Parts: sequence; structure tokens; C-alpha cells
Amino acid sequence: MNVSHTDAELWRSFCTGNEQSFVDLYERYYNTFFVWGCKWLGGEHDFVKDQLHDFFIYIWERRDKLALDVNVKAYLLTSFRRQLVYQWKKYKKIESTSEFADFAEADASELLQAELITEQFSKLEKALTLLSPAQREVVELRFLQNKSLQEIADLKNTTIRTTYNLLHRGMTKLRSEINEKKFLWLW
Amino acid sequence: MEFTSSDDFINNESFVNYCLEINQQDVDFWKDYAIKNPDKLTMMQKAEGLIKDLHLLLLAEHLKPGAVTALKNHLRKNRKTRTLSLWKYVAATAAVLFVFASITFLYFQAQNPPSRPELARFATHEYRYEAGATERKAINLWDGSFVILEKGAKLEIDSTFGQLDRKMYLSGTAYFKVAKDKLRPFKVYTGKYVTTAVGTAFKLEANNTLKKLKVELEEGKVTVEKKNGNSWSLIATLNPKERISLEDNQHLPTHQKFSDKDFSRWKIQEVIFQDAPMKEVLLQLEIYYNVKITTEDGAVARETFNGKFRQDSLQSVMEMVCFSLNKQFKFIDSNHIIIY
Repeated sequence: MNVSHTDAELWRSFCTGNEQSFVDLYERYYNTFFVWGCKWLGGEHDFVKDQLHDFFIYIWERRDKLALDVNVKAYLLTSFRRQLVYQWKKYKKIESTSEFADFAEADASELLQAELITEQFSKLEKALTLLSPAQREVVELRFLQNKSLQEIADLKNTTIRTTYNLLHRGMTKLRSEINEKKFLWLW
Repeated sequence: MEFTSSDDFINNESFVNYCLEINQQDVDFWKDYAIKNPDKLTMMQKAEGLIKDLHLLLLAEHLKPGAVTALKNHLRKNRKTRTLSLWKYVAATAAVLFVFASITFLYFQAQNPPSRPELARFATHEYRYEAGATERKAINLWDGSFVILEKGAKLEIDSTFGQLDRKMYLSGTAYFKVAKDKLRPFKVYTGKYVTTAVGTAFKLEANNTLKKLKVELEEGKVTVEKKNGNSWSLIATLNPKERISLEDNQHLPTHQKFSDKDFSRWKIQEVIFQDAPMKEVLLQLEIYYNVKITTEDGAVARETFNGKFRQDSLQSVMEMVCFSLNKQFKFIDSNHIIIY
């Protein structure tokens, strides 16, 4: 059962109308695209979330017109970026496009960039799965729900020291997993 | 405390608060720190990068299950509509923005392809509208959109209306049922805010002197932006049945759900027709009561109608209308009426 399809396989299957393959692609790229989009626009979580949904529906509607042999990663990322630029300009009424010009037309390096972006996130994603459940919980409370150490300690009925240690160990693990030296900060 | 590596920053609670903008005091402190310690800047940026990535990644994982469900629901819905060829066309073009739009509205759109909507014929090109002190005013704009102005409200249409976009300025409370036109966004300016819709129905309560704005979205999707100096910043995007209240000094507006019933009740508080063409009357009733009304006899559309309703039930309104037409009506289902 544990067969994971390659991007290219999923893509071809999706182009012929396989809904499951399409959903698989969405699941595979959701985190990366969401994080990337939010970083790019400096927040705007709701906007990115909506655009991601709209974008995938858009490519679903056009599935029979898509090329079968593409670099899936680069293709999706490039198209999504175009959609974001377009919609964002519409929202913000940005008259001059200069601010986005670099991003929208960087065709030559697109493949490389797509690789870098996905590599970066997949490392962090993988690292997250390696945390112990307790570490993961504290990391979430702190970095997603914005709770203070004191609040977490109160919630878990423990001391602030224990909470700190748990969090500290979790973060150290993340850091070692993503191997900082090779980690490229693109932004 | 001495900070000698990016780890030191990552493990500092106050620094995390700064990165995630949890509290202003920490934000101010670290901005100041960065200026005073330029040698630490690289370390700080690395730490900040990781913290922000982590935050977004956790958020993404949190949102993903809902997003996947939404996508699957869309696919399922689309599968059903595929059986009707008309629907397929409408769904393909409108699905992106109209996932939640009412059937009535989509159908109306389908019958009135991109050219001028039927309703436009009855519209007059006026640029300034004002509801009386005691009566509401209903307006048909010439793009096919429909507006209810609450007592005392004023609406000014920009002279460029219909060119690149559809701009107007509102003070007071109004309801908008926007005719769909992807190329020309519908924009209502209220003081420092602008609410933008493509094809949607929403209500605005603007108090420009107190700089307050309340937006309630019935269907479709709207965005609200606020003016900051020369640029606009996005404040909120609303989903159907959501409301937000904005005040000048308030930082984060909260989205609230509102009750469908109250909204509908507000719409039908006062409905007035004066020598109105029957075609328009029926279209307005469809909007007021969220129903679909069809007529078997096309000649009906040429009649005119006078009437005033206050909080009347759809049943009694339909009785009046049909009485004046010398016709009968019946409900085919809970939101579809046929006049015969």
C-alpha cells in the first residue's frame, strides 16, 4: 500500500481527470505554497489561502489543455506565482508593476528556484515530524497559538522551567535536522 | 544577556514575541536592539527566518485538512452540475468567485449573458441618490446592480462608473446586489475604507464622521481595504454570512457570523414600488426574499405595479402582485414560485 507516486505520475493521471491524483498533488504542495505565498506577500494568510484554493480549481478546470511533460514543481510554482501577482495587483490596485517585475519574469531561474524553495520547506517539514509528541505540542502552542511560556506551563500544569526545556530541546532538534550550513535563506 | 548565536535568539521568549508580533513592547525593544547592535543583525535575521517559517508551516498544517475538504467538496459539486450543460458553462466561469453564490443569481446571470442585463433598460443614469428621511430608496444601476438605500443614506456614483471599475461613495447604510462583471470590480468608498466586490450581495453601514464601517456579506466575496496615506492596505476578506465592524482605532477587526434571518428581515422592512415595470418588480422581489420567480405568460412583464410593503410575508406580497395581474401563483418548492 505504501506506494508514493512521483510528481510526474500524479500529474499525468490528474491531466486525464483523476480526482484523487489531483487532491494528492494539492496535499503535497499545500504547505510549501502557503508558506511561500505568505512570506512573499508579508503575511496575508487569508488571501494566500483563498488564492491557493482558486488556483488549484483553475488548473483542474483546464486539465485537458495542460502539457503532459512538465516539471511539475516548477510549473505549479510559476503558475501560482503569476496568479498571486495578478490577483494581488487587483486587490491592491498597484499601478506600477515594477515591484513585481523580477518575480514575474524570472523564467530562466525558475526551475532552480522551485527546487530551492521546495527543498527548504521539505527539510523543515520533515524535521517537524521528528519531534516527540510533547515537543511538538509545545512548539505548536508557542509558535502557532502564540502562547507565552507561562501560559503553556499553566495549561500543561507544569513549571515554566520544564516548558522551556521541552521547547528548547524541540528547537535544537529542528535546527540540527535542517542543517543550518546548507540552509538557504532566500528572503 | 549576551547573544552569541542565532540559537540564543530563538530561545529567547521576547525575541519570539517580536518575530510573531505578539506584543508591541517586545517589537519596539528588538527594533531598537537591531539598530544598536548591527553586528548581531545576521544572527537575528537567521533566527527570525526560522521562527517565521515555523509559524507559517504550522499554520499551513493547521489549515490543510480544511483546504483539502473544501477542494473535494468543490469537485463533488462540480460533478453534479456537469450533467446540465448550461451549468457547466456557468460553473467553469463563475466557480472561482462564486462557490457560495445562490442558485437564483447564477441562473439570472446565465439568462443574461455578458451583454447588458435586462434590468438596465429601466435604469436611469443618475449620479446622486439620496433616500428620504422616512422612506428607503431602491435603485437599479445601469450595470444591472441593485441597491437599497436605508433612510437618510446617500450614494454618489463616480462619473467613471463602468469604465475600468464601478466606483461609488456611500454615507449611511445600504444593501448591494452586484451584477457580475469580472473585469469591472464594484467598489464602494466609505471614508477611509473601500469595499470591493465582483459579483456579490452585501450590506454596508458607514458612519463617515465617526469613521466606523460595518460590512455584512450575504453571498459571494468582498474585500475591505483601508487607506494609509497614498496606498490601500487589505483589512479583510469576507466569506458569506460573515460580518466585520471596523473602527479607526481598532487594530484587528474580528469576523463574526451573522444571522440570516435578521439580514432578510432588514431587507424587507420596507419595499416600495411606484409605477414599476412588472419585470423589475419580480426581479426585486427575488432579491428581497431570496427566491426565484418565473412567469408562464410573458405578457405579464409589460404591466406596471404600485405597492408598498412593510415586513410583509412573501405570501402576502405575492397575493397582492398576482391580484393586480389577475393571475395565480404557487410554490414549486420552498424558494421557487411560478405565476400562471
